[in-house]
Amino acid sequence: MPPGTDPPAPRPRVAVLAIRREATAREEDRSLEEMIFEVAHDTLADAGLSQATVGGVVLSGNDQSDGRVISCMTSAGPAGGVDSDVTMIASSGEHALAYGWLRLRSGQGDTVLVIGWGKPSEGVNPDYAELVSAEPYVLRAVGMNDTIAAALQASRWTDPATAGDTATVSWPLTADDLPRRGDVVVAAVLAVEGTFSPGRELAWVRGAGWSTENYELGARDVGAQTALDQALAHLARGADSAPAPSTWDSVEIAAPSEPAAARAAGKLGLPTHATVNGSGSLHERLAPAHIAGLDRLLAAAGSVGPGTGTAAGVGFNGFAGQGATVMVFGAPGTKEGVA
Amino acid sequence: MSTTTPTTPAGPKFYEQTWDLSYKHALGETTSRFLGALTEGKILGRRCPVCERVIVPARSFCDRDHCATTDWVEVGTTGVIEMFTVVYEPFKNLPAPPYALAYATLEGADTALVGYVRGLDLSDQKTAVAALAVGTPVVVKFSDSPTGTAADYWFEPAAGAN
Repeated sequence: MPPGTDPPAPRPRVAVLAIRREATAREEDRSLEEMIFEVAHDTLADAGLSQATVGGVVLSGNDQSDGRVISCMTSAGPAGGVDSDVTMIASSGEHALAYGWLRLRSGQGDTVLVIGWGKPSEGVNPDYAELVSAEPYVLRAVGMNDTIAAALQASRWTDPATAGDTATVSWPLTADDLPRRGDVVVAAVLAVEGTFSPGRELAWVRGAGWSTENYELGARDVGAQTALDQALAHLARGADSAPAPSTWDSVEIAAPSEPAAARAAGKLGLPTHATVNGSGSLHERLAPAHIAGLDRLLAAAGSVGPGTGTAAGVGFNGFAGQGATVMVFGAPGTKEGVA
Repeated sequence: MSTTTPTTPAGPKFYEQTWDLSYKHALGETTSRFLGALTEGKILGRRCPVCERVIVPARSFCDRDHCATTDWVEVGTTGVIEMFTVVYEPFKNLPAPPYALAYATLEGADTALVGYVRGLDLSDQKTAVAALAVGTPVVVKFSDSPTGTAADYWFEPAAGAN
């Protein structure tokens, strides 16, 4: 440290105070804004906060599937963001949680509401809308969506000799191998230690890391899931000593397919007792793609407690998992991560 | 924008809307030349001066080294499959199933090119995927009526493959 400069301020520890999730296959009686309002309002209330008292709001929506361009404009109000500090993270829901955490770590406020949503039932054909994800120069003339990209990735790990009579959507993936969308809103309130009563926390955030690979499937080894390796390295480089995967009691993984989730779990080097996707398979737990990672990260946060001292969420985003995010949570208690 | 409004005794329940938005994407010189070469039956790549990879389809920059690519390279029209799928469920605006899609690394290229795979009977899944296994040699075929898009080429299993 250069002479005459102040020592860096210690980074505040951040806890998860409240988590809410609403998920249904098809919500036809409430608008998207009504769903966002109810989840935002109730999550803030769970944390003892309101629109007037929360320090900031981080949104994660997807204009392409929402059918509302710059959808944060229409959604800031129901999310509790009017006359407040609102940011929308469009890349992926798990990035919204990471950004909310970073805000508090950096001293930008004491509390933040992170909320992500998707109501693909409003898209008359969400698969069709997904085609716009392909770059417009070469790939769009061929056509690409999340399912086909996931199948291409899975072909790197699947022996064609195992192909049988089972019906596949896109070989080698069956419908059960693939994520299921659903109309879903998830939210959490994060808060800086000292701004809430000790013991009120659901979990402590112990660290996070994330990375993004090349967009083009042909320019990366999609079977290697390098983004996950890079995210884990980012996690390990963090200012805190985040628990390593070899100590995690459970992990929740949002992946392009079940083979991708299994591959990711396998490369983590988890202890033998660790549970993987205890909240349900990709097909069982409804989640639109862009908030599937946020949903799994919050499932991990909500799972810590007796018997689960450390849990982590892993979220992949983009075609065949172009990006990966890891966030680690510790059980509530008077000392971070120690129940 | 067109709007239809299914109604209930309490009032409309949904607004179904269709937006007809158009875009005119500038290709840039590099992609323009790549697509133009397809009409001549050629696949072009660009070499990165740092990692020396030949990037196909041609890109004006290497995003791994974050530098401009320098040389044009015409790559071969034979290669091997890196990954593939056979699609059996219909998706709007994509071909009627079944159809096969693959990424293949062409001779002289360091990245894989996407394309449909034709010339195969896809009705039997087991036979189809066996014929498309990773590492299978393919050849590039070109349309007799090119349009200057990636639809101008496709892959077929090389003679003697499998």
